[in-house]
Amino acid sequence: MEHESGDRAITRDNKGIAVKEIQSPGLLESMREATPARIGIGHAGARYKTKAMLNFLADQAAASDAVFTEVSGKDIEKLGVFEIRTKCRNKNDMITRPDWGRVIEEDQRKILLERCIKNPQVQIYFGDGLCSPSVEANVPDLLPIIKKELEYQKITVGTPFFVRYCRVNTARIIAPLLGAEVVCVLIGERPGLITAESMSAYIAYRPHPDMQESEYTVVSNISRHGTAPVEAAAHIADLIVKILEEKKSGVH
Amino acid sequence: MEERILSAGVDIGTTTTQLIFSRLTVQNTGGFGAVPQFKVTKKEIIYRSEIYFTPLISENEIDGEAVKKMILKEYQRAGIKPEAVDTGAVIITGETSGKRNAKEVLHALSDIAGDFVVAEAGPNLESILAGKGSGAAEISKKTGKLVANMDIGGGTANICFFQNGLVLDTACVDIGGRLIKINEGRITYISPKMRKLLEYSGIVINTGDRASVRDKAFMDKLNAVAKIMVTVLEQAVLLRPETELLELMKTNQLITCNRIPDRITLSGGIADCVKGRSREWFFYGDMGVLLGKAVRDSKLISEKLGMKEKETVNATVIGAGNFSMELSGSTIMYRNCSFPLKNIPVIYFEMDEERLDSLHVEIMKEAGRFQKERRSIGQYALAAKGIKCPSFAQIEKIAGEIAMAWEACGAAGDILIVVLKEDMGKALGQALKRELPGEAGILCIDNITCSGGDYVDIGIPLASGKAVPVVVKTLIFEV
Repeated sequence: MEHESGDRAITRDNKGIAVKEIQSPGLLESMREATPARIGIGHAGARYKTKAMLNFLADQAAASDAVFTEVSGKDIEKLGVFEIRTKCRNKNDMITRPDWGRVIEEDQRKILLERCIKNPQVQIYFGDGLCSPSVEANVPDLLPIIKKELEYQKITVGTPFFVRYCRVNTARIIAPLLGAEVVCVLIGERPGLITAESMSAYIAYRPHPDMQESEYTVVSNISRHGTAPVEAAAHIADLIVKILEEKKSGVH
Repeated sequence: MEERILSAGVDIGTTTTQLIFSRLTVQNTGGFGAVPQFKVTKKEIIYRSEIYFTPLISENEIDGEAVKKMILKEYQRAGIKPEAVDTGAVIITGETSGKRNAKEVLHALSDIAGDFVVAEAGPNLESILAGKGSGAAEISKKTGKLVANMDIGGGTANICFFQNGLVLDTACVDIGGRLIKINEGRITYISPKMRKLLEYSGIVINTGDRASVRDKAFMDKLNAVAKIMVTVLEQAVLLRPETELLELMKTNQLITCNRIPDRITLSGGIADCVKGRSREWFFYGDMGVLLGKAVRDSKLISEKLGMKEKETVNATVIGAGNFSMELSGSTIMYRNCSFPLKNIPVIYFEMDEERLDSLHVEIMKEAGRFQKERRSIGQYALAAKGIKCPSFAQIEKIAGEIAMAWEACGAAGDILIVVLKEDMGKALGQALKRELPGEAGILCIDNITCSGGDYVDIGIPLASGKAVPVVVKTLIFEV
C-alpha cells in the first residue's frame, strides 16, 4: 500500500472500480467523482474484495495514526512560531482527559505572556486537536492568508503560536489572558475514512470561561479534499471582520 | 436562508414568439459549519404566455415595436412589473437572428425587460437551451445514455448531445417547417437555403406554383422534399453517413464528437407535428405538418425515440428562462463594481501551474491579440480554469502576475474582472485587492466555465452578497 507523506488517505483512487459488467461506465465514473464514498468497489460474495478491504484497513489505520502521532517540532519551527502545551502530558491524556485539554498551567501561561503582544484585536493560534497531520497540511496556507488580509484591513493580529494536546476550549483561557477581542483557533478535526488531514476554525468574540458552546462560529472541513485552505482562509478573514463589526459570534 | 429570484425567458423565433416567467429558489446547501454554497434548488414556471406568430415587417425585418407591445401585454397579464425581474434572457433564435435588425430589436427590448434580461442566442446557445428546456439533459443524467435533442422549429433544427447531464456537442442545420410557405393555394415563399436544397436534389418548385393537397404530383414532390430534409437531420445526428448536402444545410457547426446517440428527444414546433394530432397538410401555411410526418416515418429516428420529453414546443423559451443563468461560487470577492455588468467579452488565458512565472506574459499576449482583433480597448473579463487547491504562495504569485499584466493592458476606470472555474476566487480576489490601489474596481469569481470569444453578463449579487448570477453567452451574432 502506497502512503506518501502528508497524504495519509489516498487509497481511494478512481481507477479502483471493481464492479463487473458496468452498464454505463461514464455514469459510474461521474458518480464516483461526485462523492468520496466507496461506491463501485464490487464484492466477493457477501464480503469486500481484497483490494477494497486493504484500502479500508489502510484508511482506518491512517485515521487512527492521525490521532496518535505527534506534530513534529520541526514542522512548528518551519512555521516560525513557538509552542506551549495544555495540562495533558501525552496523547493518552489527550484522549482520556478532555478536561485537561483546555487547562493551561502557570508555566505555560508565563510563556504566553512573555512572548505574545497584549490586547490584539484578533488572536490566532493552532492546535493538533484530534488530527496532527492537519497542522502541516493546512496551516502553511491558512495562517498567512488570514493574517495578511486582516492586517491589510488595519486589524491588529496577535502573535501566533502552537498548542500541543489542544482542545477548542483553550480559547476560554487564552482570550482573557492575552486580552484578545476575537480568538480564532485552527484545530485538527477528528479524522474519518475520507481524509485524515481536515482542520476546523473556531472563532469567538471575547471568549471567557463561562461562555456557551453556541458562541463559536465554525468553519469545518478545511482540507484539499474539502474546502481548499486558501479559500477557507479568505472566508475566515471576512468572518472575523464581520464578527469584530457586530461584536458577536456564533451567528450563522 | 432562502432567496427567490424572478426569471424571465423570451424566445423570438422564426415562427413564434413566447414568454415565460419562473421563480428560482436560491439556498445555501453548504450545511452547518461549512463554507457557504448557494445553489438554485428549485425552478418553478409561474406563467406561460400565448404562443404568438413573430411579427415581421418584411422577410428580413422583425417588427420590433409589435414584439415590444406583445411582451408588455404579457407582463401586464402576468401581473409582473418589468423592474421586478431579476434575471433571464431575451433570445432571438433560428433564422430570425439572421434578420437585419435583430440587434436593434434586442436593444429596444432590453429597457422593458428588467435590469438583467439581455442575452441573445447564437445557434449553439440555442441548441443548449432547447436541450435543457426539453428535459433531454436531465434524461441523459438519469439514464446515463447519450441523448441527442433535436429542436426543430420554423427555420432551423438545433441539435445538442448530452451525456450525464452535460453538454457534449452542438450542431445546427437549416431545416425547419417554414422554409417553404404556402398561402391561399400558392407557394408564397422559399428560403434561400431551401432553394439550394431543391437545386441539389433536382426538384423544381417555385414561388407562385399552385399548391393543392388534391394535386398528387405536387404532394409527391413536397413529400420528397420533406424526406430529403429528414435525411439531413439523420446525417446531422450521425445516424446516416454524411453527404455534401449536410455541409450545404449547415447553419454554423456540425457534430464533431463522432458518437452515435443512444436516444433522441424532439422539441420545437415540429415535435408537436410528429406526435400531435393529425392536422390538415397546410394547417400552418407551411411544410410543418408534412415535415413532422416525415420525421415520424423515419425508421432511423423513430427507433431512437421513446424517452419522454418534458416540454416540446416550449423547450427553448423554458431553457432561456430557467437555464440561462448560473450562480457563481459563494466565496468570491468584489470591490467598487457597479452591477449589472453586461456584454463583457472574455479573454481566456492558460494558468499553467508549472509556468506561473510567465503568467503576465501569457495574459498580455492574449489581451493584445484581443485588442488587435477588435480594434478596441473596452471593458473585458479575464478567464482561466485556475488551479485546484492552490497554495498560499501560488495565490500570491498569480495575483502579482495578474496585477502586473493589468497595469500594462487594463484601461483606467475599467474593472479587473477575473472569472475562474476552480474554487479560488475569494483568496485570489483578496490578494489582488492588496496588490492594486484602493480605488481600483475588482471582481473575482469562481465556479464559472467560459472560453475566449464568449460574452458574460454579471448580475447584482444575491444571497446577502455572497454570490453573483452569471449568464455566459456563447457566440453572439456570428455575422
